[in-house]
Amino acid sequence: MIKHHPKFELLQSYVNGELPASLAIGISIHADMCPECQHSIAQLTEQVAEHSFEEAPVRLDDLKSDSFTSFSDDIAEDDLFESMISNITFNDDADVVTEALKREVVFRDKTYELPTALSRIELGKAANIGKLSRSRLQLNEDEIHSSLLHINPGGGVPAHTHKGFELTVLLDGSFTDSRGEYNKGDFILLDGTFTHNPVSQNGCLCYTVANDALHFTQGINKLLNPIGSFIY
Amino acid sequence: MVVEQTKLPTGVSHAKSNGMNENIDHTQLSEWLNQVADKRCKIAFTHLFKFFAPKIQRIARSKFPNEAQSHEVVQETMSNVWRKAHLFDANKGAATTWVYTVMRNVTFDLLRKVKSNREDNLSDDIWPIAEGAVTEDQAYEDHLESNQLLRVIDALPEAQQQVVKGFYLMEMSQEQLANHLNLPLGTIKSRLRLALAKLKVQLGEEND
Amino acid sequence: MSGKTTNLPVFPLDLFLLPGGITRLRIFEPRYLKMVGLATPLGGFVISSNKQSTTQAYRWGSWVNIINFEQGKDGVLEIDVSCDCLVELENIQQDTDKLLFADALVHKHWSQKSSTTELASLSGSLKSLFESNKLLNELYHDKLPNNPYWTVSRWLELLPIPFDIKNKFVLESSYTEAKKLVHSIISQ
Repeated sequence: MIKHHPKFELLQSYVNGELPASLAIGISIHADMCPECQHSIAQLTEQVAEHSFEEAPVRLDDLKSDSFTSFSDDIAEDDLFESMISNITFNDDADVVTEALKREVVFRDKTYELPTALSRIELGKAANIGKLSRSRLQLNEDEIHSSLLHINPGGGVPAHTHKGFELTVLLDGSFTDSRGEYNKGDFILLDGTFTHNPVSQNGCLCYTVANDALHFTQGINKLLNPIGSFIY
Repeated sequence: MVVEQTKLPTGVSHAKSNGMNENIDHTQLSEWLNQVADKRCKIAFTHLFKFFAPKIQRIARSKFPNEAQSHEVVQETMSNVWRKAHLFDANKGAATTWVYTVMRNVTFDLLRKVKSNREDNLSDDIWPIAEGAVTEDQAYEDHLESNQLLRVIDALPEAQQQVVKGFYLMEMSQEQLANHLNLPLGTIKSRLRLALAKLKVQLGEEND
Repeated sequence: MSGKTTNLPVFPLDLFLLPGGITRLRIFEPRYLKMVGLATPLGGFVISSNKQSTTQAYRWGSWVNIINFEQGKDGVLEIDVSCDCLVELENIQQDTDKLLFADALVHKHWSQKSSTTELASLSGSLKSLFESNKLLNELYHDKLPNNPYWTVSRWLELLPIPFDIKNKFVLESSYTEAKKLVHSIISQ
């Protein structure tokens, strides 16, 4: 049962297309598994579409600027639009549609089907430390890193915090931290103030996004800080 | 026993009819889209273009400082409307919602191209424009399938990678061509447009 | 389809390549490494774009031969292939390694013709492009024939115009239209 969802504002930015690809992908993956958010997204999209395509309200400024220059601009625009129409309709072919394809990924001998949103993003070679495996997704978003993180049964990520944010979407399996248990489909967005120590009893695969290396906070684990940047 | 059939308007449908804008003729827009899909009707497409293009242009101008880029959004969006109209399903939502999705996806991909220099066109995977389906440039044609040939589409994710990494792109970009000929980009773009339009006339004459 | 067909491996790639054209490919997938291995005994392979339309009369491809290979900086196999002729494909099948094979029938095309009438402006412009582009230079080794058909073919490959337009120059229209198109863009 999915218990953790993206906030309303995040869904709105998603619908508006304003999020970085990594976060939009996170929401898309979650919504695939969450009818509730799917419904909200459909409603928001309908609203923003209505709003986008209603006739522009006539403002006083527009009336004032209705001069000869704007008239000639209109003509230039008409020409441009005419040539666009003829370029576009030049070819009668329609796009061929096929069923969405499922891409699979293997971590430690276990095969997982990836969500559609990840179906064509280049995946780096898996790097392994102990029970953790991580593959980077090549999204090229500068300081924002997206990865697939696999935890073998009994493994966990040492207690850590972030300077920025950390998003985890559970693709398969479950893990627990001090706040409780997280399951397949959960969308967990943490900011830099939160310290946690996720442990996965039965193993799990997560989609993760973070905008800074994670920072280990507990005793001996501080020694692990150099590998913080490895995991996220 | 007679079941009471008369229902008061439910909250949902009431809210919906209020939300629907009265100055948009949704039925007409859907009809045009269907004519484009079924009959490849250029007149219906021209109607759609005249309704949507100026609004798309206005929205794109707020997201891109550059006029050429906002034209690109208009061109790309309307071109997708033309090529993908058959994916529109009036039972699933309004024409405005569908065109909005197409425009948002085009804008997202272009912004990503401008900011991250990535041309991976991820938007249709993030926001599918038809349920359970993807449009596939790479897809093999229907006639191959109807000949009961193998469904080679399995090969696609890798084939897509091939497209990204499989060969050194020989085709020049418009920018490279402009540089090479030492002409402004705008001139190259209009030359290309003009050449293709002319070509259409020539081919048209030949086909008669 | 009549005439002699040859069964060849097919490499689906959205690449427009006419006879005489050379390109460099990176091969990293096992089935395409296998294809490279088969190419020599079988006499090459076919590059065929999936962007071809459902409505066209036949699916075509570029029959290529491997003319050079080396290992790229990242360890990936790089091969240079040269297109000998165009072929019509039929009976496309997939083997157990998901490599495609098809029966290929040679399709005669204007790009294979030759003539000594030089197209000064188009070939001059092409020459200067090849000189300034490292990869093109490496692939063609400065050997640029003065054949107008060859020149127009290379320009058609290089120009940033949609695949479906280029496709028409294989399926229906003639060299003259192709030349006019290239001319109207390159030299005005």
